Amino acid sequence: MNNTAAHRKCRALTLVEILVAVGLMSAVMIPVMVSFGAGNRGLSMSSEELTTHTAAIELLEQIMASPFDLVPTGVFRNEQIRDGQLMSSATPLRFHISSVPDIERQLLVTNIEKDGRVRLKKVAVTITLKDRDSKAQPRRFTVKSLLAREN
Amino acid sequence: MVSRESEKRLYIRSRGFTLVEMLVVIALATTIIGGITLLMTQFRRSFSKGEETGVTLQEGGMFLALLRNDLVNAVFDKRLSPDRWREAIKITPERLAMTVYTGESDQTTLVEYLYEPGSGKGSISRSAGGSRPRTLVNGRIASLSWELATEEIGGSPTASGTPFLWINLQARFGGQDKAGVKGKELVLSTKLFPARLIRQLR
Repeated sequence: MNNTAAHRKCRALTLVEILVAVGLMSAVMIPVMVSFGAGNRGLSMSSEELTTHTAAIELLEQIMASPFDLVPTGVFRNEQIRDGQLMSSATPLRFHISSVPDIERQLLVTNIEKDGRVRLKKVAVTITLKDRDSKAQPRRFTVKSLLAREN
Repeated sequence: MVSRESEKRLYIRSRGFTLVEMLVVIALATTIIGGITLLMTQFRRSFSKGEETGVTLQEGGMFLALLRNDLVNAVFDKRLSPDRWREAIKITPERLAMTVYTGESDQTTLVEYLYEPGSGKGSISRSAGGSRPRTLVNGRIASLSWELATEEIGGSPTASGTPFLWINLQARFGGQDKAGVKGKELVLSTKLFPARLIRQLR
């Protein structure tokens, strides 16, 4: 009887016990690894968002710095927004745009009138991140501001 | 007198491991320990890479935000004559300087950005009003170039147009190797428009 008890106390781990232990450890480690991967994806998204935000502000700032009367109204699509290209035939303003891969720009300028005179211009810049992962809904980012007449 | 059966049991209990048993145990232990070590090493490397990328993003973003804010508040130096408007922002490959409206008692101050290239591990510091430069990006710039661009809107060969100027900025961040780990590279290519200064020039 004593012999059996001593034998049980001293015996090594069986293969099944080791496999169960490894399985349990894997079950604990897998969620850790998955959450770590999510963190890395988050970093990638932050990097993309910084690039996107920079591109949006670049276009918005240019419009905000331009003379009020020369800023044309309307919708300007990605094909029209090219570096050095005239904004429209009615203005001498040109787009000054940096080359950023995998994005599409859109500019919307609308007049806001008061007492029959254009007092403000509403400027909205939308950046769309091109569909890289074949997702149904591409990511979009919009910045808006108002340009005021100063005279 | 010990019986034959007891003698056999005693032999079984006290015998050593066979070579095959030892080899199986060593192979199993090597596989398990090797797998765990590899997993941990990769985990640690990925963590360091993520950390490095995060710091690069933070430093790059902060530098760009500060530079943009200074440029938005840049004003024309009254000591310059109006026809020298192209010198309102002084720029060299290692230095960018401008007069900035601070809003404190309607004062202006000289703000400088200093770039030290350092063979792919460049740094940028900023100083305001002659104070000690504060490092914004520390050894994480692979390359950086900034240049001033100007144009006269609606100008003709005989008449000058409306002055317009901006900064072309190209920067690659994340060139630093930290213990053999290189973070994800951040490329910034943008134009910065000093809105207040442009309005002042009009």
